[in-house]
Formats: sequence, C-alpha cells, structure tokens
Amino acid sequence: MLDQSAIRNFCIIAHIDHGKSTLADRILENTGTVSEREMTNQVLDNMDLERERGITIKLKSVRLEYTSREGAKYLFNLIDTPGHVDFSYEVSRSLAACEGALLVVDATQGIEAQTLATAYMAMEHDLTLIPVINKIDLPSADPDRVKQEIEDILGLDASEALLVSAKTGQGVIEVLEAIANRIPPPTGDPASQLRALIFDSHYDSYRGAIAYVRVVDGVLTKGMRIRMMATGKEFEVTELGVFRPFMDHVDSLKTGEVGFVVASMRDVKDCLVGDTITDAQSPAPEPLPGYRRVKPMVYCGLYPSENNDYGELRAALEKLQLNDSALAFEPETSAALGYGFRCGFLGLLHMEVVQERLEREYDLDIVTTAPNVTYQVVTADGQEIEVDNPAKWPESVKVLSVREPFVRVSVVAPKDYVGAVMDVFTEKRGVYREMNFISPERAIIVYDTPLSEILVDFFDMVKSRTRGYASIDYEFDSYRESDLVKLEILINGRPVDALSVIVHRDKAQAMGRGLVSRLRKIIPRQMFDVPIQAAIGSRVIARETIKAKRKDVLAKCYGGDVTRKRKLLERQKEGKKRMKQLGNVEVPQDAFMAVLRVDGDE
Amino acid sequence: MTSVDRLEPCGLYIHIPFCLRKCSYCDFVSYRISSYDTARYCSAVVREMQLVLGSSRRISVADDGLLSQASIEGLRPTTVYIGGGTPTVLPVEQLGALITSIWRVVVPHQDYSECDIEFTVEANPETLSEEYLSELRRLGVNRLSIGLQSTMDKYLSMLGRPHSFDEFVKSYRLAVQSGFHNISVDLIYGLPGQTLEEWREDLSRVVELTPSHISCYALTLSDGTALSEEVRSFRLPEPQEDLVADMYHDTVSVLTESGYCHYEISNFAAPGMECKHNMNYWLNGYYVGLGVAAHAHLRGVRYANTAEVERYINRVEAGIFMPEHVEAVSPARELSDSFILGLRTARGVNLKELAERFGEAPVAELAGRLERFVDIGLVESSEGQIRLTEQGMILSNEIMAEVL
Repeated sequence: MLDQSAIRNFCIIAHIDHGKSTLADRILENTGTVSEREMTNQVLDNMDLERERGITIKLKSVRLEYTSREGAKYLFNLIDTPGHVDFSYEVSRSLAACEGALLVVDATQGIEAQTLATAYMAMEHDLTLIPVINKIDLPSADPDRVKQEIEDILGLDASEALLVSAKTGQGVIEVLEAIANRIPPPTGDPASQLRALIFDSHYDSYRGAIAYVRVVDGVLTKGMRIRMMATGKEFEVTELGVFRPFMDHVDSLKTGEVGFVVASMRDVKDCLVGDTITDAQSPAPEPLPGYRRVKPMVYCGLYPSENNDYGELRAALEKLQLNDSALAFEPETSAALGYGFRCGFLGLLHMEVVQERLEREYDLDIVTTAPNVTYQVVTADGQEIEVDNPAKWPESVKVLSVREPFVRVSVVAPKDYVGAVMDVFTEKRGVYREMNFISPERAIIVYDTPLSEILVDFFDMVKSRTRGYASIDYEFDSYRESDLVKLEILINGRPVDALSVIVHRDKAQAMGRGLVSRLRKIIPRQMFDVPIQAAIGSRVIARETIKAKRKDVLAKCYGGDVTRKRKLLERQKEGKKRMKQLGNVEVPQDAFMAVLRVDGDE
Repeated sequence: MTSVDRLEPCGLYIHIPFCLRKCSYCDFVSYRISSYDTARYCSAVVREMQLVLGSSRRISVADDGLLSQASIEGLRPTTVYIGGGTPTVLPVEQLGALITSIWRVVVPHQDYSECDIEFTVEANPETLSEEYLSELRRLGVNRLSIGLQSTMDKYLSMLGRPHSFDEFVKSYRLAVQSGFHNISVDLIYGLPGQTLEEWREDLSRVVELTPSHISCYALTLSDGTALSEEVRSFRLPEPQEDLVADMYHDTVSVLTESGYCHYEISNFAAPGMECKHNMNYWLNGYYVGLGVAAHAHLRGVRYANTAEVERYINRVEAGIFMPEHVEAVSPARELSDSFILGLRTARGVNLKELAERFGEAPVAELAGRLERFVDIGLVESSEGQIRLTEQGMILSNEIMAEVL
C-alpha cells in the first residue's frame, strides 16, 4: 500500500468540447487502468443524455496507478466534475476533494466563461492549477495566444503550460509527470478523528445510496458506524471501494484516499453532497467547511397530459429524487391543468434533464408550465412571503415590495460582438458590472441580471447574436428589489392560472401583447368567438379575439362509404382529446409554453 | 318464401371506375378508360350481381363468419344508382346491356316501366350525345346526375374537366329533350381563387336551367390529388375558411329563394325531387354495392370490394365473392351511424324511431351530448326530432364527432 505522500487527487477543468473526456480517456489508457479493448468511447461519460449534450451531469472518480519516469509509484484519483453552471455547488465540493486541477484550454478557441468561473473557484480552494493547452495538432492552434490569455486573465504562469493533443496522445505523459511532480499530496491527519467529504452520491437499486467520498482526516473502515454531521443520521458501513474504473472493494479508505461508501442508505438525501462523514463512536469536533443545503432556483408546474397518469408521474418523480437530492416537488392543483406537481430545480439545465428523463425513461406525456423563480414578497401587513408560483402571488393591492434573485452573468465573446451582447443584457434588464479584455481579440462582459430574465431565451439570444462564438456563465448574486407585477391571461373571460407570469412593470405591456397574439395563433378556432385578454389586476392591457370557426364539414359522403367518414371524425375526436378543456374552450398543450416563445416571435 | 310486399327496401349501387381522364380534385376510385377492357368489366359486374342478388338471394361464398349472417334475403332494391367514374364513358351498348341485366334482377316478374324504382346514371357533359341520351331513356333510366362543377371555363380547366360550360348547356338541353325530367347538376364551390360573386354567378346560371336537383359541394382538397399539390406548393391560393362559409350560406339563401329545399348538407331539390337513393344512405338504410370499390351495408355488416379492377374481375370470373373490407356493425355503432348520417339531412334524426330500434337509454345518451350545441344555435330540437341548423350543417364535423 502506498503512502499518503504518493497520493495525488485532481480534477479536470475544461469548457464543453475542449477535450476533457478525451484527455481523461488517454490518462486512463496511459496508466494501464483501462485496456484499449475496454476503452469504449469516453468511459467517464456514460449517460446517454450526457453524450448527446456533451456535458457531464454525474461525477465519478477513478483510481489510477502511475510509475513516474524516475521510477516512483503514485496513486492518482481523478475526480470528474460536472460541466454546467446549474451544478456549481457540486463542482465546488468536487474541487474541495482535490489538491490540484488540470486546466484544459482548447488551443484554437482560448478560455471560455465557464472555464474561467471554475478556475477561479479552484483558486479559492487553493488548488494547484496545471494549464494544459489541448488540440495542438489542429492547424488553427495558437498556443501562444492561449498562454497569453491564461497569464493575463488568470494571473497564472503559463510558461510551464503543457502542450497536448489528447486525440493523438502527444504530451499526455508530460501531463502525468506534472500531476506527480507539481500537485501536492493530501495534508490530512491520519491520527485524528475521521472526517470524509461527500462530493457526490448515486442511487443504486440494489445497494441504496452510494456516497463518493474523500477521506480528509483519519480512516474509514468497513463495519464502522458512521454519522452524517449535517443531518445527524447514522449508518453502518457495509461496503467500501474504489473505481479502477470498475468497482473494486477495499477494507478501509485512509487519509487522502478517494472511494465509495455503501451503508444501507435509503436514498441520496441520506448522504448529501458536502456533508462530512465521521465515526459515530468517536466523532470529529467540527465538520469540514463548505456544506450548504442546495435550494431550487427555478420552478415549474409538471402535469400529466392525461389526468389518470398522476400516480405514475408521482412515482417517477419519487424515483428520480432517490438519485437527485436537488429535485424538489410538491402536489399542486391548477384549475386549468388539474392535478400535478410544482417542481423545483437548480437551474434550467436541471429542469430540462428532469423533463427529458420523465418523458424518455418513464414514457410519460407531460405538460410543462413556463418556469419561474422564487420571489420574496413583502405584503402590506408587513409579512414577508416566498412565492414560487405565480398562482400564489398576492393581490396587487397587498404587495408592498418585491425582491427577485439576480445572478452575475459573465459572457466571453470576440470583441466585435461586445455591442451585441450588451444589447441583449439591456433587453434583459441587466445591470452593468464590468468588462475586461482577455486578449486583444476577446472580452469578458459581466452584468447582474434578474434570473427570471435568463430563464427564457437568454442563452439562445446570446448564441445567435454572436454566431455561437460566446460562452456564458452565471452564479447567484443576491435578491434585489424590482417593480414586478403579475400578468394574468384570461381566455373567454376566465383567468387561466397556468398562464400567469410575473413580469417587470415596464415589460408587462409588450409581454401581454406578445402572449395574447401568440395564444391567438396557437388556440384553434372554436364554435364561438373567444376573447383572449392580458390583464394586470383588473386592468386589461391587451386583447385579441379568436373568431368562431365557420366551416368544418365533409361535403360529400362518397357512395355510401360511411367507414371513411367515421375514421375522419374519429381522428378529429382524438385531436380534441389531446387538448385541455378550459371552460368550454379547447386549448392545445403547447399554449402553456407560449410565454417562452413570445419574445422570439413578435 | 317471403312475400314481395314484406321485403325490406334497399339501395343498389354499381360503380363504373372509368373516366376519359382524372379530374384534378378527384380522389374517387377511377381510372383512365383507355387502359381497360370495359366489356369484360361490365360482364363481371353482371356476374357479381347474379352471385349476390341472383335466384338464391344469398351471398354464396361466405367463409367470413360475418357475411354468412349478412344474407340479403328479405331485401328488395327500390333504387338503383350507377356512379363512377363516368358511367356514360362506356360505349352505349355496354352500359345498355348492364342496365338491362340490372332490371332483370331487380324486377324479375314485372315490366320496369310500371314500377316505381328510381334509376340514376351519373354522366359527364362530354359523353352525352343525343343517341346516348335517348338510349338511356329507352332503357328505363329515369334520373340523370350531371357533373358540371363550375360554369366558368377557367375553373373547369383548373379542375381538369374535359368540357366547357357551353357543352354542358347543350347536353343538358338534349337530356331534357330526350325526356329526362329528373336531372341533378353537381357544382363545387370554394375553388382556389374563386370569389363570392363568381359563385353567385354559377348558382344563377344553373338555376336558370331549372334542374330538379342541385348538389353544391364545398371543395375538399384531398391529399395526393393534383389540385391539393398545386395549393400545397403555393401555385394556387388556398381557399379561405370564412369565404367558403359565406359561399355556403349564400348557396342556401339563393337556392331556397329559388324554390329548392335544402334537404341535406350539400343537396337541394325541387319539392318531392330529393334523391331517394342517397336519402337511403342518410337514413342508415341497407344497400348492396357492385363493382370495384363499391360499398355495402347489410344487417350487422358493412363491406367494400377491392379497388383494383384486375383483381375484381379475376375473382368474380372465378365465381368468388369476397369483399376486401368487412366490418361488423354493432347495435351501438348502428346507432351512432344513424346519428352522423341522419344529422346530414334537414329532417334530422327522430329519437322515438331510434329508441324503438336501439332502446331509450342509449338514444337519450347520444342526444344529451348534442345539447350544448343547442345553446349556440347549431342544433335544433323539437318534439323528439333533432336536426342541425343551417349554421350547424357547415360545422357538422364538430357536432358529429361528439356522437362517436
């Protein structure tokens, strides 16, 4: 068994498509961890959804053995980090489990916004950063420019940056040498009470929840009674192990080591990311710093298309929650959509992932309402309430003031697009913070922007107006006061709860007009005139009418072919069934997402 | 042996699937006549008629369990309708022989001139010579249905019709001179680019000829037709729903003011001149179909023949009667069919009559589903009779979908 001083715990920081997975694969091959035969495409990225989107949602760790050029033996733990802004807390916990990080930058692209945010976070955790300039085999590679960027914007010494092509394998050995020589070994105290950081968890239907841990102090042994310091829950360790990359059982995890713990934990809420595991018999006096209970930032209503699928939707959400402690949901009833759930997510990607899994893995047909954030509303009687659903917004006369979450958004873009990016921020009620040049060619633009404004089409707008050259990152900043109102939509005189939105007063008029016109196009003509109105309180600010349908007839019943006519009518009836009945108006399910497309269309 | 008086009336439809050429809007089963041996087809139809309606009055091959129960025993054809295609595209001796054979089966012991059977032949203007018309009249055909579709040559050519309006007028007059007193004229409205004024002109030109019956169909753009392709690719403008609805309402007012009864969604007749054969369809009555793609409705079953001419002829010549599409019709289905068909007519459906056949409860249940349409003026209900209003008829799909 190798000594603590031979351990190197590290992760890879990289922008999407900058080659993180390919580099990880090469490292696995070059340390003999995975034979080429086993080397299916990108071992670390094994979820379908991840592969399709090129992102890593679940982190994992792999133990590698490396013998350096000088003949010294090392034990590497490669900890994978999620690559999306919604999971920044999880990223911070993964970083906290490491002493160093490879900072991978594409030699043809340069530093992107997300890389920058994660690199800053790694510096806050005192990680040793090793700049790796990847894709140097490409003709358009410009490693000198990238080195300059790294020095200018991150203040790192890039003279020792490694030039690599993960694709061809060039420079990979130098990366392994740098990990061994530059990243310090873990510093924890083997003699003190056990403290192990949970940096990820995973639900397995046979073993229950599995915690991925980094032992910071002391030793974790099989059979030990452990305590989760934040929740106080206690369990007995039934299995300990490491991934090489396949599961391998061990009897103990010592100071500095990384591995997994199985302890009859029912679901991932029993081993929250960031919590500290200690020995229940001899607990540590203090938990490790940095634990935070993650709170959903974005909410939306999820409803089964068919009302009798409610039970199935609940079961599916419960199953997802076993593996996803950040997913929150509670039953809600909508006059328009019936019985469903108000669900809370870390962010937009998290929301999309959950929706897709419900539809794909659980084969559910769901109606989603437009996403919204949590507002802090101070009412006339001095109470402060949190509102995560427009339907629960107090009457306008009772609202004294409202605060909404702002995020600090960084956009890295070529200098020619700075104006275009700033225009998007202005449209999205952004408050300018700063702008700096990363290089003579590229700038980083920082605005504080209401989270609600970036939920809808912010990313698409930035991408399209910069021809895809921009990268975006954001982090929660603070709650700030805003002049917000509830915009209600009335169909045929009846307010439709699922279509209400909270908007800034200055934007209400345009939003109201856009929504009403959008709905007029989505909702088919009915047997009578249907007015569509947008209103704030009792004041109607926009109105359009869907004129009554005038013709729907099969003029000729061919030569006694009744079957053909019936089939036509049956199709018509089938189409109606898929619509939601609001009073006596039939509304297609698309209508509930109309608010998401208002800006783009009008 | 059942006595003739107690036989239940039924319709007899014969399909002639041939045309000079296919019209641009047509999705009927019809083929270019030049590629077929029509004499052989006509013989096959006669053979099929003998198999189905011949002396045994029993469908002879019935290895499908359904059909064995669907014996036509007890049924007596009271209307005959030769449709197409264009039946009159056949050489007059072929069509004549077919008509003679039909009479022989339909009224075996009687002179057809003395019976009260409605005998319709569909015709297109370009096929109606004086000789042809007088031969049809002589053979006992007493009703003609002439496809005009438009009185304007630009639309006739858009529709791919091989005749002009003048040719139509000429053959119409010839038909009257040949002794036809019951002539129906078909028109189509809602054509791409057609204005309301043009349609009114169509109506007034036809009314001037005083036919006993006029059918006015709103154009249906069926997938796969040349015309729908033209519209889909924006080479022709798509007919607008509101304009077509205006045309419908104009049709109803113009024709009723001219003395026609609006007796079915698309059909208008001088008093007493309603098409009996079609009324039988709408009353959900029984009928037998002969020829390719012909449909039949017998007790508890609906079936249709193959649409392929060769296949049809080969089977019939081999003495096999085996329709391709056979469906059992349950009482619940018969009831909802009675609703969706009956509601096409001005008379509507009579709840008492239906209740006698299907029971009070199911009839009341279906009638109940239509109540919400009463409030918005699409359905009228009085003394156990439910009917669509003029407005309801043009929105009938919406209403009928409710009773499925």
